[in-house]
Amino acid sequence: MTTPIALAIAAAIVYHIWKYLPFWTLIFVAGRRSIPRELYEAGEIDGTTPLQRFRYITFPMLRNLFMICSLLSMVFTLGDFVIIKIMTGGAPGDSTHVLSTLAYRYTFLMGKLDWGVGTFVVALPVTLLFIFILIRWVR
Amino acid sequence: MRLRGWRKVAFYGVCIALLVWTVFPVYYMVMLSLVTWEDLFKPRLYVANPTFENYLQTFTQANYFVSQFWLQLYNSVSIALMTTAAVLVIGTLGSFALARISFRGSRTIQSLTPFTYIIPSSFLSIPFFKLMADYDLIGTKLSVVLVMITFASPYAVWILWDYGKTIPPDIDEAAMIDGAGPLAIFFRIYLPLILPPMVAIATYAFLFAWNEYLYAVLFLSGEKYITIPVAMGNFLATDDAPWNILMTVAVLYSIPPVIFYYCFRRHLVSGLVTGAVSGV
Repeated sequence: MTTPIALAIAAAIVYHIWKYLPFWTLIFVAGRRSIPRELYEAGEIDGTTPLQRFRYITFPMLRNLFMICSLLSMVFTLGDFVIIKIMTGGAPGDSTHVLSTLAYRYTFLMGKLDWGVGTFVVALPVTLLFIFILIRWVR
Repeated sequence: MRLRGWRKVAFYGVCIALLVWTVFPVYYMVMLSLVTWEDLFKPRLYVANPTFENYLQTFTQANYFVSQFWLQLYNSVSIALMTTAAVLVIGTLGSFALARISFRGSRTIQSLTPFTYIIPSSFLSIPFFKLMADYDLIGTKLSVVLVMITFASPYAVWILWDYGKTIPPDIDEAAMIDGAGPLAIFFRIYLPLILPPMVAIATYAFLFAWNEYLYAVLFLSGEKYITIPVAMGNFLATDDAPWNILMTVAVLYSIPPVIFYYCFRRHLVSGLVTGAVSGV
């Protein structure tokens, strides 16, 4: 019983990776280009390997970008409705729902508006954490 | 840096693998749109007998599933264009106010603008549905447009404001000495200078409304009033869904975004990245 559920969830995950990988790659390429070339030249003169240059130059310089991209990526995926709705519809037996499809089912198919709102409120701690991180980042 | 020997082979191997991973679903979509109904469930990597029958059926609305194709396309286009226009007006005026006019509470608004971006749009579907029901807007295009504006415009204000800050205020002062009021500064100086991110924002808002499924499915109903994404979702309501026609509609529906992207590619990437990278 667990295998088909795991497969369905895995398929949704694969879709999200497929969809957003090129987008974030584009963002990271632009971020990488904004790092001054001199830093890499200085690193080369000091005799670092490419891996060390990535670890000590690229990664720290893109720290904020990593942060905001992970945050937004999580937000995009957390709120996704379409993929589960189209791919599995929550089946088999309500086992592959995500928050938004479950709330949709409660509210619009079962007519229990309070259950639907409750489903979203469950995610509030996570959302608040995101907002907290964002406030610190915007400052 | 030059790669040699096995490193070169490995590098190109990874590149090809990523390319296949990214392009294959798109290729499969186009391929399925060209097969006949009989060939549909014989999985192949190429089309044995390519046919444009599916496109013909879609354009002439010959199949039951695409019986209102042009009307639904019109709905999609009009919702996307209305959203884009409204977001551009709100975004440019709002960012001008934040970047150029000092008023009480402007800092609060600045720090609040990214928030709607961080709350997944689907989480507000139930409150919005209640709101639209209370105002008796369910079933109208306006309801979808209003929701799309709500989600797209704060981001637009944020990006445009971020860019507008970088325009030196000396230009404004020079214009003011020449007798220009705030409106003249906005139209003659501010607007032409923020054109690149405006292109990015317009594309973003257009695609955001173009791809919207959840709010369209909640607010719109009836063959003649739904948008194409909802119509495509309705294909799957039956067991013998004509996948080849579904894929044909999908191909046709993806063409405008692709054209948009390749026309404005340069502006798009730089415009979207200003917001993300300026924090670095």
